[in-house]
Amino acid sequence: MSVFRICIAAVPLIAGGSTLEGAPSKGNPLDPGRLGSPGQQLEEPDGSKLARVRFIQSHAHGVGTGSSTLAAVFTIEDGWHLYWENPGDSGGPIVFDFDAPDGVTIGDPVFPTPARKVYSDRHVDYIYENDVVVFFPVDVDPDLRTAVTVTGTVDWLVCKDECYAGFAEVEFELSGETGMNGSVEYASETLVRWHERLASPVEEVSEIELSTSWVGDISLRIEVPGADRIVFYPGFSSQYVYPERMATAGVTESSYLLLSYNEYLHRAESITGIVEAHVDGEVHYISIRVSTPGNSDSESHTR
Amino acid sequence: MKFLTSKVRAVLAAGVLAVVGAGLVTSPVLADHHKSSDGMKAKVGQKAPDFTLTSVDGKSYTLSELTEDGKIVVLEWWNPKCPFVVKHHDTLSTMNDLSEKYAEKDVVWIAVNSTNSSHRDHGVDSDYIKKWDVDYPVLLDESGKVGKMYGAKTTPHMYIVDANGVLRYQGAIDSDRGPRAPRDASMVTNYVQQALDQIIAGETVTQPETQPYGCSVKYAS
Repeated sequence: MSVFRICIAAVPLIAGGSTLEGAPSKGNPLDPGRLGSPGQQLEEPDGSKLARVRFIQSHAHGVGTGSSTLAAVFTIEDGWHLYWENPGDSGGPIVFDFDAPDGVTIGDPVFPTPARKVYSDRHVDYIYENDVVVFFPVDVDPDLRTAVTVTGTVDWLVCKDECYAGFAEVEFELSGETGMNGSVEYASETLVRWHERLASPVEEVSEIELSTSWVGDISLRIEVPGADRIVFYPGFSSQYVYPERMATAGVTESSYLLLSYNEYLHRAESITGIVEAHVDGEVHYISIRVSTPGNSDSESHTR
Repeated sequence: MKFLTSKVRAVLAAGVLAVVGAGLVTSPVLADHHKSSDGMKAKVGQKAPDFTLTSVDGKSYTLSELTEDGKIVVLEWWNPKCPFVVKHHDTLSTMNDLSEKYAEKDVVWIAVNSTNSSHRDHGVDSDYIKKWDVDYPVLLDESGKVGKMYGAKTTPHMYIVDANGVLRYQGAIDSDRGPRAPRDASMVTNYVQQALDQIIAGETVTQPETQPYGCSVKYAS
């Protein structure tokens, strides 16, 4: 297991005026399924307490091209879930909005591979349960001699059988120094576990082979020789270009997956997504971007 | 055994008819259609599946009667306990504003609630209709038949049926996928408004389908 060395330069965030606590205690006193005493009015669950977020900066492992990494660590109450950047057939993504001062650049969030939640053969969502870490590439001007304060907001939808909106106003510090500010803590199992679920671009994957090819005008074949399970998570498309029937077609217990895209495929220059491939007992997460038929470089890709 | 007298047969026949009639009144009436294996029939570019549902205040609404009247119909799948419905009715007044604006352009706005009767979110429509001053019908689809026919997945999930009865748009209300009001509203595209303007102008809807966002519709199964 790799050590994920972190600097705790972050301040716990403020959620609706209350102070962030550590990991939530097991069991949810706000569970609407629990019975209160006769006549007792059950409290309406609070989405800002069903999931909580804190921020940590790491100088050890980069994400993307950042010189350091910002990690948004969410803890989620038992039985509840948050959503991936493409939530699927329902739900809403986690939304971050930072006000970074001069000298600080926070890149786009990098979401780890989610899990599938299948409701029916026509309904699948992409979710996180128990916890999740969202990573950001960060660049801080090394000339900044002191830590700088970043503020912002985080919004999310947390669901079980019903859904609640969660919100947090956040404030944390980022440092440009490669040395450690404040206390040093070797990364929790949580950060390492979610870092391992980040997808690697197919060009950077050497342990396995992955090829994609268009069959006809709308079907995409994804093949991983030796795989005994392949799952595909389609990236968010603002143009509504998606493979159909993902609840059933999005997973296979074989070495190839065939996806039929919808009639809007021609609108997009490329499709994106994460391929989860199970090969010889190992799980690999690979991000792909495939040019759509008719666009340049849309022939078979092999890695 | 005695033969049934004609009078008894008439009474029995009337009783059977009454039972059948009651069944038709209490369940959504589905116009005939080519059934797909999963029951979903709505497809953009094709005739929208017809239905009759009863509103919270007991009135009956039939889609085909509205379109035959020359109306464009906006269907808004709703659940007032969903944060995204709250966003567009309470934090913002997206739905009320649009329904009022387009009412003078022969657009009828209708909300449909497919929440099953066993769900925690069920049975609160009247409270929120009043609280949010909703001036258009909210139809009850507790069995979920109409919701499933349309493939409604979220609340809100929006559909637009033109005056020819053709489904012209399905998807999100707008491009802002967060549960709170956006920081900069000028960056948000309202897909329903865009589609309505294009339909009214006799133009092609340039974004006929978008990914809906919101809470899942609370079907019975």
